[in-house]
Amino acid sequence: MARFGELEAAIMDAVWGAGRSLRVREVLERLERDPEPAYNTVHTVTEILHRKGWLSKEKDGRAYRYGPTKSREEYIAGLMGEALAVAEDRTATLARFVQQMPPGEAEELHRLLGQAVAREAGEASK
Amino acid sequence: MIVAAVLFTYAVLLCTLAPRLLRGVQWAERAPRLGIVVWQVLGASALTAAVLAGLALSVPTVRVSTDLAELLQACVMALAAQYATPGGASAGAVGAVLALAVLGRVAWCTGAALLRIRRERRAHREVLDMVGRPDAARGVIVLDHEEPAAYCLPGRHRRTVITTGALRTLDDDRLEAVLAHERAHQAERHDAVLAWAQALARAFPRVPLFRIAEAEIARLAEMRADDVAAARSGRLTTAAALLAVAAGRAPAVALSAGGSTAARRVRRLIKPHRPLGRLRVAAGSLTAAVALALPLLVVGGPAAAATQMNYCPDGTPAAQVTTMR
Repeated sequence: MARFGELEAAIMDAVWGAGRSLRVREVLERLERDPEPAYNTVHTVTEILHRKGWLSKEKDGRAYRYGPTKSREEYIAGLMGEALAVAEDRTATLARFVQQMPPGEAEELHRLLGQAVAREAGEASK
Repeated sequence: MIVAAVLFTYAVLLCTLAPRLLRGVQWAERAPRLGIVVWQVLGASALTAAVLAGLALSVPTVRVSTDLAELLQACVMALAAQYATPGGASAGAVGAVLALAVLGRVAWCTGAALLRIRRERRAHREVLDMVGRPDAARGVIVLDHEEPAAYCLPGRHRRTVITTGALRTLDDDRLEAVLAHERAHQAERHDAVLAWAQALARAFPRVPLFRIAEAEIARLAEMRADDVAAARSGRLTTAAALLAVAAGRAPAVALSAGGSTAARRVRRLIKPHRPLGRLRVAAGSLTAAVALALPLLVVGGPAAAATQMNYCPDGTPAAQVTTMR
């Protein structure tokens, strides 16, 4: 099951990397996986990605072309929006390391930290 | 009736007065783990007291007998005796409604919160696994993003996530402090602690105890994780890591006027650390245990006494019965 997820990610990488929509054959050529997955497997997983909303599908002659519905950056921006949301709602869903800090406050703390580091260095050299 | 009144008064005092006395106390920041436990115990104790107060109103204490049939009969008689009078019946109804309402509300809100959290986590994880790059050496997922940020997705399929912006800002020592902080959250299951606190705050939004407990527990959990990171990487290194990640981002629109939690955490790490003494931690733990046991003792005392007494020397059914009121 984990490998299935990996193949999904690899296919999305290939489509994002191409910068245009691809046929299944072209996706397969760009996968660079060892061992190379079967055409049918790639076709199936590509269809799954289309059904999940990750890929759009358009008819091109007798075959289909698959393109990304959103760029990788857009997805990352969405994740960061959830992770950094100011609303405290999400504290239980995700645990972020630290919230934002106003610039003035950060400056003062930098100064205090510098003093503390210097004091510690002074004590260590004594 | 006295038992119910005592329990109810106790619950009300806990819900209103306790958060005012305890909010932002100094010792909690010196022993954040004890602080978290105390807030949890206060919530649990208030809930137990409210439920038991309701039960004490609606269920009379019955003399415990070894014979099951006799016991059942005594129960029926006790209930019949109480509900025969209009006052007894209405008190019983009020008590039952109180107990059921509190229990039902907690169960409903906790269930809803857990489901929502699980759904949000799964949706987040699905996208994360698609766009993140696993860094096996550090055991993290790296996201290509300019702003420095680090967070963890808790739960069974947990992930620790860090942005390329944060990797660039942090040297190895500071990165280690960040990862130790996230590992501490996971090891001590802070996500479950927070989910529970959040569910209670949602269940009873007007009760100051649960509202303040949620905020305090969130803050103390961060400080506890800071302490674990500091024990490994040093307090000043941890403070520097916090500062680097927090200050590298565009400032948020809405921040509390009294200084952000982030700033409070950095200040706490810079100042010389004075963990709470062992004696005072023990005293605090004992107080918490007493608070937890108190409502049970209030109910258990009369109930235990009732088992010892013989209420029916002349064998009349009505005399087999006593109530807690």
